[in-house]
Amino acid sequence: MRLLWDIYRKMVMTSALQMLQYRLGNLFSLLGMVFEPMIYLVMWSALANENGGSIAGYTAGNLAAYYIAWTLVRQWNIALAPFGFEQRVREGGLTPVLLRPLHPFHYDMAGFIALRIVGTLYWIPIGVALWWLFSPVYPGGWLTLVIFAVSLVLSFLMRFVLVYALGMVSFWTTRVSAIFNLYFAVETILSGRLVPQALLPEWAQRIANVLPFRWSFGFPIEVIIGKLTLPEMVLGLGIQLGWLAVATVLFVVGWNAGIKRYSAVGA
Amino acid sequence: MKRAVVLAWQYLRLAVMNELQYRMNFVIQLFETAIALVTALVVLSLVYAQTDSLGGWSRYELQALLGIYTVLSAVVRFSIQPNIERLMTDIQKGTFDYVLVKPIDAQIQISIREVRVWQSIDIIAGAAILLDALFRLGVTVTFGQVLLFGLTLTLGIILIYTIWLLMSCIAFWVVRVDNIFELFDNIASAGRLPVDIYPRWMRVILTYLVPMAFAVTVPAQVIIGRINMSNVAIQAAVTLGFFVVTRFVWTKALVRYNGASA
Repeated sequence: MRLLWDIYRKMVMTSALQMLQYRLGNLFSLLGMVFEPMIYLVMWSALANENGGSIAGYTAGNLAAYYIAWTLVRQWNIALAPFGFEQRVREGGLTPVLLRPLHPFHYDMAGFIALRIVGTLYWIPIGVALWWLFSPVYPGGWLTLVIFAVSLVLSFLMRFVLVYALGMVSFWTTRVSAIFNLYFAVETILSGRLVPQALLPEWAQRIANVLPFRWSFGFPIEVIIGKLTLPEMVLGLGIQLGWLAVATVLFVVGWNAGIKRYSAVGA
Repeated sequence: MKRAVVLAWQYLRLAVMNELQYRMNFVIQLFETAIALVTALVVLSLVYAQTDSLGGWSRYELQALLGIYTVLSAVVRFSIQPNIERLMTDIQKGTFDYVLVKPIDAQIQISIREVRVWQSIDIIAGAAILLDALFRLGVTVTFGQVLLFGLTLTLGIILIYTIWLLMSCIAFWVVRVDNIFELFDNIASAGRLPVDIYPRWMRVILTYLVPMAFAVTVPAQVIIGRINMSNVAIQAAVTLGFFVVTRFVWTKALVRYNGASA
């Protein structure tokens, strides 16, 4: 455990320093990521205005708060795309990684933790600029902030492991783009990425509650913009932990079954 | 020019013949197109469950716009993007030499070499959404409107092409530019909404800097019968401006290129 911690620390440091080399590139990709929620924000604010100032309980200020928090949560949501894993299986790139002393998962995880650190650093000025441009309304409060931070970390962990587990499908078939794209399409609609949960129709909200997507995206945002009561927040954290456990089991089972089929194609 | 057309046709034919070997890809593309379309239509119905007009656009007017957006972004993936990607690899690896030694203008060559055949499904799907929307709107479209629509759509495609090429010219100076494309791609997705609903500062970006939204809005306004001649004029001017600038930068970039492993 001690060893694992040391290795993680070293790997996170190295990857973070590597990423910091491409300053302009990082800035560009972050700016690009910011543009998507601005489209949604414009769309829903226009709706709120035509609706007499608010829509499903969201005022323009709430919506601005939602989509600015969105940009941070999205930053923390980036995971190893299952496409990347599929490529490793198809082209045999997994082989050298398997020879390393730790499970390949740890190397990816460390890399993405580093990305979180670098990404958050870059996010700060952008968040300030957005704040100035769109005047969001946040309730504030230390407790909310703490719960938000915890839910942000959990959302990263659960989505990372879940998407990683999805990548395991590549051991059985390499025609996976359709499966993955379907997954991401459902995720886009039900996670709160496109639209706050409250604006979905009743039945869609019920589906969203039992699927993992909302818990890895919309939930932390709803925490920080003050849409949830304390018991709801605590329950949400519990559900996130539950999904993290489910994802871990799926991943371990998928990996153990799949790695036996792996034949180092192309190597 | 005639040679260029013949050459483009040959490239297209080869790509089609090549792709027909992989028919499973057709089914997969069909499935992915369906996912994208369903997602877009779900969003549309979510929005219009709350209201009947978004920034002055009714549901089927916005659907028409979405159809045009789908067509334009499919054209990008059908031809523009693969060609530019090939150009990037050529510059990085030095294989751009082979383009320079051929007897046809280099810009024409690099613009027609690649085709992603199955993306044509998205073009058809976009057209279908557009037609469906027009049918439901019950608008009568005059011949003049169709002409103007064709003109503005073509201008839009040329505009997007020149911007992609302009961005790729940067690669002659700094070799890594993939992040710029990523940024552009994200800004381009603003084209899903009419440009007039954005706040002023965004509208400026979307009209003059990354005019994808503009390229989608203008033909949409024409076809639903809300012709705005000043927008058409701006589009023609912006397209011409970008075209000239791109050609100029391109010739400068060619001089800058210093060949394989240099």
